[in-house]
Amino acid sequence: MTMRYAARAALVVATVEVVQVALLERVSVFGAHPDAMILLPAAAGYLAGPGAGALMGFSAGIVADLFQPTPFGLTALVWTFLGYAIGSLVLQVRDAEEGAAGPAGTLPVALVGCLATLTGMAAFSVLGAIFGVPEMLTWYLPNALPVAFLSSLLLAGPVFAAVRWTLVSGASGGPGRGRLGTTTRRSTVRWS
Amino acid sequence: MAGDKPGRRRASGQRLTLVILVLVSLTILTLDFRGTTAGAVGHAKRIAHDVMNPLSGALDAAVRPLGDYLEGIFQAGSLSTENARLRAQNARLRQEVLTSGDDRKRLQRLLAAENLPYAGNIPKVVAEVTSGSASDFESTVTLDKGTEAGVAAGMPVVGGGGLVGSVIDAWATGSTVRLVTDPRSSVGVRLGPGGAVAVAVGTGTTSSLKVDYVAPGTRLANGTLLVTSGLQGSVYPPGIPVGTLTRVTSGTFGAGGAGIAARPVVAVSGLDYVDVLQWQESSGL
Repeated sequence: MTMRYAARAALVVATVEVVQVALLERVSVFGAHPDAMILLPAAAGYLAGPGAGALMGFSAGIVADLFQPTPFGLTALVWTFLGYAIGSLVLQVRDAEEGAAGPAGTLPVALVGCLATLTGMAAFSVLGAIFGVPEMLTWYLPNALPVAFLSSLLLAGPVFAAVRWTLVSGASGGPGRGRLGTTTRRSTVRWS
Repeated sequence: MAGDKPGRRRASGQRLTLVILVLVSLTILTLDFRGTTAGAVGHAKRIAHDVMNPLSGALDAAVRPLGDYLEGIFQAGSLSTENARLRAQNARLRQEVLTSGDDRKRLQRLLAAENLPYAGNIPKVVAEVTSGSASDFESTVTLDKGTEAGVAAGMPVVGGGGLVGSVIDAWATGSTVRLVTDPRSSVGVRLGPGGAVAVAVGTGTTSSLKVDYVAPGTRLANGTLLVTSGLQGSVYPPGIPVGTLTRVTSGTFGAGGAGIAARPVVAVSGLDYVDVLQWQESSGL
């Protein structure tokens, strides 16, 4: 990964965090609000594979942890796994669909975003319950899931597009058109 | 088979990336739990907030209408503002009723007798609630006043006639308050002014608290006012209304307080302005 792509990724993480704090945290439904940050590792894993997903998950998680009173590093840990898992899932789906044109035709970004959000939140609440706050599982999670599901449908497109911008240069957008490596059938962009 | 080698090498590299990042995350998490990084992490958080606040503030004017609109979709537009105002008014009126008559006289006598600080002689910082929880898994609010205004971690926050919570993090221009309804919040209380001591614990819901550690044989009734006990080591000064008992299944309870619930005095979901009490345990008693 070059400095240029690292700088782009950092810019996207910072921008999404600003939008999260300035806009999305003001939208509260039953105590829950939309979460755009959690879509970053999902997008990186989806577009560039498990390693990139894990890297983005860790980076975005550390930034998110700076603004949350939860234990520092917990979000980074969960999102690292999340980005890696989404990347692995996409690879497996592509393996199962030999000759498919690309991930966009088989796994819509909205579906991946929703899946990632629900999985990440469930994992976070289970860890919270293990660390002694069972209400994270019994009270907060049921309230947050519907809001997270609906908001992910709306936010997945813009967030995935932003992450795609960090991976793709010039006008030749789309999965599999990245400068860092587009030669393999299985991976769209070699980012890590 | 030779063509699989790059793929295998890449998969191996990605697994190594995962392992390294997980180990780094676990190390940070462990150090944070042990408090080893408290100073560094706290410093980093304060810097992050100080950097974010101007950006957030600059965007606020532009995006607030959009944020209000989006919130209005779910909360019936301008009715949410009116609703918040009415909830605050309702809380004040409920508090007046609660502390009227004998209860008020007893509370005033108790305050006078013990020279309790909640009567108004504690320096206060009025702050506006700027946003709700940063995470869906906690009950906190963010205030627009921080260390520059004299707010510090550990200070109690009151509003709407009772206890709101306590400051858990403060930076130059803002602070985070953990609400009494957060499951990590425990408040030492008395069951009525001068009554038995217990602990009010948040449940995550905005309308209910658990009441634990009630002494065996304690007689209770629905509507009993819970006030902060202010016992030695408490993070809250004594005498601040916390909630009222709403579920008492019999008149007497054993240890543990199972089945005892209370409703917070303050409607924490509709907060606009609060008072941060510049009180700390060492200075208060």
